[in-house]
Amino acid sequence: MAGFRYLCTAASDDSTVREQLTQLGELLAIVSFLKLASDTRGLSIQSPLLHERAEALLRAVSGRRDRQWTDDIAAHGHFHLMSARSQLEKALSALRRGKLTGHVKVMTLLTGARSELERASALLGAAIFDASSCCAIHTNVEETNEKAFCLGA
Amino acid sequence: MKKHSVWVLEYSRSPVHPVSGVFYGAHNQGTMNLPFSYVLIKIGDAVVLVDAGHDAGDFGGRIADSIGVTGWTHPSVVLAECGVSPEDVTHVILTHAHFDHAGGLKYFPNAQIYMQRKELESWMWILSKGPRFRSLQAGLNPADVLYLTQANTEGRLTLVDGVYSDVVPGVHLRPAFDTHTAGSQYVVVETAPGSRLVLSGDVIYTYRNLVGDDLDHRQFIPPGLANGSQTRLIETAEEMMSIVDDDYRHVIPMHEEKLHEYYPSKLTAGGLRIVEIALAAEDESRV
Ligand SMILES: [Zn+2]
Repeated sequence: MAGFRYLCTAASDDSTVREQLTQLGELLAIVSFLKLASDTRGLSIQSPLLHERAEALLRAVSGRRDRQWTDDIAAHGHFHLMSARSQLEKALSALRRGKLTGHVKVMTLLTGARSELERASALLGAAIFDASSCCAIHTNVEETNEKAFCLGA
Repeated sequence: MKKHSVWVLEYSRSPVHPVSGVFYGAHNQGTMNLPFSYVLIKIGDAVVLVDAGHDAGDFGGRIADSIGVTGWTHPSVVLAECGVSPEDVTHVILTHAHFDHAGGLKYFPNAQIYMQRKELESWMWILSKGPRFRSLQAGLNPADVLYLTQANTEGRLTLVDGVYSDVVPGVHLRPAFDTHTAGSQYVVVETAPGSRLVLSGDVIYTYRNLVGDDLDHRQFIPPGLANGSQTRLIETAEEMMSIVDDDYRHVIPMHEEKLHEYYPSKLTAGGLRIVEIALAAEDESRV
């Protein structure tokens, strides 16, 4: 994806596996929110849209095995990502089944997924979420420029 | 006589934060020093923390590393300067859910967490919109969402709708919707009758946001970063100023490096700044 990139030093430059990490991070946030919403009265949320988005992310991070990774780190990272994916998929379908599911199981799956993503993130040297527009420096680092705009100009 | 003690506790800093993130329109003006802090309020037996910092041990830490944030110090070390341990914290008020405000929640296992319902709902909305809206997701750590979910199952999450009075006596929440984030809030502390402090969260980063460059001709310069609008940031700044009867020094911006020019302070052995904003009658100074 063009646009934002993190400034951290990547241990693997494989952009596919890094994108998978970001997508699964998003999925962790979505499934966690779905769990939170299922426990909370009066939260106004677009549950169907969130479920749809979760399915789309699961499809995007498919477990294809035929892919050649650019390096061993990417392959190892991918292994942890697939483990996270599988736990998130189970948590999502447990949530869909509704009240029959104990919350302990969902929380265990979510916590497991989080640990796997943390391992992948550490291996890949890549952040799981983007902060470039909020508090990070973009790769086109801000420079001090004599011709800086004045406020209101 | 003051009833509340209030300290701003620096726990980390960025020497290279882009100026454009702090001041709207300040393009190509390089980087600046930005302290990262939380605020400790003590009243009676209540120990309130406004924001929880980030956690250097997880994703939030990796982001922080990548943007030049240094000197992260464990909350047990930071809070010990005020004679408090993380387990003593009874309430955590989240001004918003960015990783550098919510990421440290796990260190305060006994705290009841207060945040605006709208803040949660807006993040869910952003996530439901898919990849084209990804830029609005910036700063939200999925691990923090999971933590909030966990806290909610333990009954430790209180979702607030707008104004909320007396979280503990004299500590009030005010919404700042559609400013820095969609569901931001700020905190008003009534330290004594008629005497108020405003803890501004990221609606105001520094005093320059409040007064501009000339104290005789003040103007608001909103922060550069807003998921909401610059207009709402300015309107909220005006609201804060009216709460403190136009005395800008009673607005406490958590990212202000020069707070120690207005309030007593000290540097810890680790080089972090502790600023004493208010001291309760029965409390001892920590600076
Ligand atoms: Zn923020």
